[in-house]
Amino acid sequence: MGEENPFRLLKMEQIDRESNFHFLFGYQMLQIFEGKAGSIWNRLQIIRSAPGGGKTSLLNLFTVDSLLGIYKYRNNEDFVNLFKTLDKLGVYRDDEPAILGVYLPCTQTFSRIEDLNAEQEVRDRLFFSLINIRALFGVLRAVCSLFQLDYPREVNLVGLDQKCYECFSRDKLLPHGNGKTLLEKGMEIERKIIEMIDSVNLSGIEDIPLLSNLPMWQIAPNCLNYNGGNIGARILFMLDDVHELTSHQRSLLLRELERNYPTARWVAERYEALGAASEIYTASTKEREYNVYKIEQWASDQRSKGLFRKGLGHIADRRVNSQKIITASTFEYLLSEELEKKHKERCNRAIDSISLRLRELICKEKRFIPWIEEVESIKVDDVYKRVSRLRALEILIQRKIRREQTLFPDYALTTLEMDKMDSASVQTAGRLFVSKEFKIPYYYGIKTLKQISSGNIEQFLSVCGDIFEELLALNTLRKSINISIGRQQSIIKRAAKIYLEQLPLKMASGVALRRLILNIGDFSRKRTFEITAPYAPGITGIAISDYDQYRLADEDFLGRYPKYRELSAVLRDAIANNVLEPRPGQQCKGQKWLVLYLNRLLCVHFNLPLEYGGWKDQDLGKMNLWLKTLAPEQKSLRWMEGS
Amino acid sequence: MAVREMRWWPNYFLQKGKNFDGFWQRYLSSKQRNILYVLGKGFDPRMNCGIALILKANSDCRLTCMVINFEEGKYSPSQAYMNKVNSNFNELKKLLGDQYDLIDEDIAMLDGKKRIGGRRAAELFADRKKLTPYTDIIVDISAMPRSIFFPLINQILIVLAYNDIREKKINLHVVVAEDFSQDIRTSAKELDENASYMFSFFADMELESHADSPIIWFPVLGEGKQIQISTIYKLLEPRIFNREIEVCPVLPFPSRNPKRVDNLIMEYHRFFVEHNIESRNVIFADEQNPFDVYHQIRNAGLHYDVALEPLGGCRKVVSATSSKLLSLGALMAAREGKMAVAFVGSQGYTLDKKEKEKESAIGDDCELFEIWINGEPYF
Repeated sequence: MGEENPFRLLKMEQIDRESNFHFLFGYQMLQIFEGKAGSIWNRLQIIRSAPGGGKTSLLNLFTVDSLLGIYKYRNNEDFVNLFKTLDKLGVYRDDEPAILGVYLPCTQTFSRIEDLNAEQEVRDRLFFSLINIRALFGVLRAVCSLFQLDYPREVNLVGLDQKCYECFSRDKLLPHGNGKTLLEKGMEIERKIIEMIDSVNLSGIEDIPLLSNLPMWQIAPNCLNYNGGNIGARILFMLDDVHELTSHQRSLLLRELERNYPTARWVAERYEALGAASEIYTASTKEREYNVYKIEQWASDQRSKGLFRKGLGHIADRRVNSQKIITASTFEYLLSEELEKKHKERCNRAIDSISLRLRELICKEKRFIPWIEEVESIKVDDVYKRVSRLRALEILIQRKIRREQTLFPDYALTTLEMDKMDSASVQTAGRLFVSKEFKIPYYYGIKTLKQISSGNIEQFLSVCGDIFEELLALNTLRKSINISIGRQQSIIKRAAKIYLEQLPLKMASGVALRRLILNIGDFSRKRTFEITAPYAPGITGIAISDYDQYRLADEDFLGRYPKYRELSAVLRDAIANNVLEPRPGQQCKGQKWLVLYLNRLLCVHFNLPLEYGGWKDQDLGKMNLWLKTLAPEQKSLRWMEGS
Repeated sequence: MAVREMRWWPNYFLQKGKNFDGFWQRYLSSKQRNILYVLGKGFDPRMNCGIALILKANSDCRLTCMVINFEEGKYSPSQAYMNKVNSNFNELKKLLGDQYDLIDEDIAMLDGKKRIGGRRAAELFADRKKLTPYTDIIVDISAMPRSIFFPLINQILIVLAYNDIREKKINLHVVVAEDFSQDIRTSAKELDENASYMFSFFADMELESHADSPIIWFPVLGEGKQIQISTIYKLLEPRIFNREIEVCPVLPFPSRNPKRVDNLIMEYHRFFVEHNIESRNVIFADEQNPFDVYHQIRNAGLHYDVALEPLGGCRKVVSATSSKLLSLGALMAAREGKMAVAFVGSQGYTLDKKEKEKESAIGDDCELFEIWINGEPYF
């Protein structure tokens, strides 16, 4: 079943051929570098996202093997867009890669160096030594890939130009000789470092060359040789999972990487909105020497939202096309968006019920008759839309009643006034209210699936995978391969429930985080479904002031008020894992706020709308209380069973 | 084919249940012993079972008790059971009275988010002179997390293997109070997001010299650990194309519950299917004999070494997500076979609600095991 469900190939590493990976990769993701073709090779680039956001896939696209593969299939219709997009970035030159991409994961080995019983300076130097050694291995592998040499057997054909040794003394790390000599020396040093990290004593440290900077990053184009000839490609070092380093190591590394180097340098890490890790500290006062990309925020940003969602559709369609069990050209084709008979009946009953309420209302306040007549006169074939419009009207009427007490309840209001009060948000609220009251599915369709991704590809694939499992089951039972809206909603709701339930299992501070989320959800739900829908389409997040954000990241404040320490840690984890989506710098009431939106999948659990927008400010005291207390029983959540 | 020497197979020393009592009575009365008894301080009601019985067996022996206190952090779910921890500790102090020495060692499990407990536990025995006054070291793992007792026991074995100490034939025993159903009811909470390799069990996993070698993974499966198993798989799975992982799950058979294996296979069905695990890869090892686990894993590892030697060998990884008894077998296999040990740490543990109601009954069903892994029998 794992092979049959193409959405379960979550990690690109499970896709066993480069061409499969490229086939499934959405080229639209590369738009994140739009307008940066000049600087991505010269300045430090920092790419941030939550787990599953696509950082690693993006970096791996630029490895030598990947670029060669794309070039090979550049005329194939499935890969032509990917090739063109990369070509525009300057990745190719004269029929070959101009970039020698070297992927370097920051594994836990590095952070364990900090546990050694040695002076800080010694630990720093060991860190630089290991990172340079790993960079050396990466470069040798990349060159072998570029010329299709058998690594490590033919690495002796690769070497460093004499210029490298003349610039500065690197021979502590890099002995004179060919690639084989370099590799053997590197392996020897690496083994000594790893053995030291994995034991309680420091024996052998005197045999390890201790470095204090990044000499490997100083290898310029034309400094590498293959078979006597220079290699003109620029090295691109891509450090992944930099958040796995200790904060001290991270600062050291990023400070070094901000300098000028002939190599391109990219860094990928977890997003941190609170704390020192969110910024790099530089000693100089000059303009910062790096670009930052926040993938989920880019995905949700107005300008790029269309691109990202298009990219998701592309990824889903490619996955469906890659399997042979269910025939469909697009994933959307397999998802019904038609109301079932019972839902249409419910809609009709809803129309009757709401019409009756409106009639009762106009008995007391005739001024709304023109509004009701106007809405009822508009012919809408779709019964769901019809009842949603009626419900939206009810909301507008309630708003009008509460906004102004009138001495003339029978003085007719113009439809112009209604139009002024109406908006797409109110219409969305109308649909949500109808769904709740009359038990009509709300969460279905490809648009919903894209929305609940919350800018995270892995989350999107996971829910799509659940839906595809259902399709495979239908296929096995020889039923129509088209999943009803009721079943779609059930599956999405189940995924949301599991997401929430697994928080305590999957995350440090997960138990406290779950309490916080339940309280935020409960609060949001209550405010969303107020009779006037004041925050239409609904509240899906909370906000803390810039000042409170600063305090939660300030060690002095936390030292004086330790009761907020847990809240600080929990929010940091929540943001880093995309459980809460940050939107800093939102202006309201004359000040700036850090808005924290619930992950869109959590919105499904609390029956909230999926649009961003509505939020409510909270103080730290309230947030702390929510962190520590259980949310009220959410009995009314049972209404959205969806069948 | 070279003779495969296994230190702990086919000759090994294991006593359990009533034989545990009998052994210690005879053992302690046969000659004057100076014992270092190491145990963990926890809420597990089995914490004092072993030491209570040993002291009862012979109250005249010289014994120093080292209690390791795990600092899991202020917000750890385990904090909810501090009363139980204190109660266990008070009971221990009462057992020891004034007759025996008590050493308290605090170990921080975390430094920020980084796991350092394993290193700190091993550092307790970094100085070889610490062990030389003793004839016997007993490590009671009943209330000790795996991430602690794996590196702790490994470090002790390293020290005992030094030439000057080897001659002293210091004995190393591992004691565990097993309650097979208790392990199921105690849940790890707030798991680490990523798996990692245990301290002193990195093996060759991150060395460039072995970077292209296939990985053979021996997960010792236990109930309710799907998330841990998936997380460990993510640690092992390749970041670069075309790397192989061969999975050889270890299942407990024979077992007290004859349907235990069936239940585990059903529980891990999706994992088996998604990773194309063939039935011939499954290893069965006696639920009550860690030496059988050791033997089976070690044997399989040696087969792979021989088979894959023409391709440059392989890297072997063990994960122990089952009972502590079986985990001990995994430890021995990892140590001798130079295998890595991958695990997922947690911020703490909870007892399920039903279990809290019958806490007082726990411990009544537990069975004590004595596993002798270094010293006189091996010379």
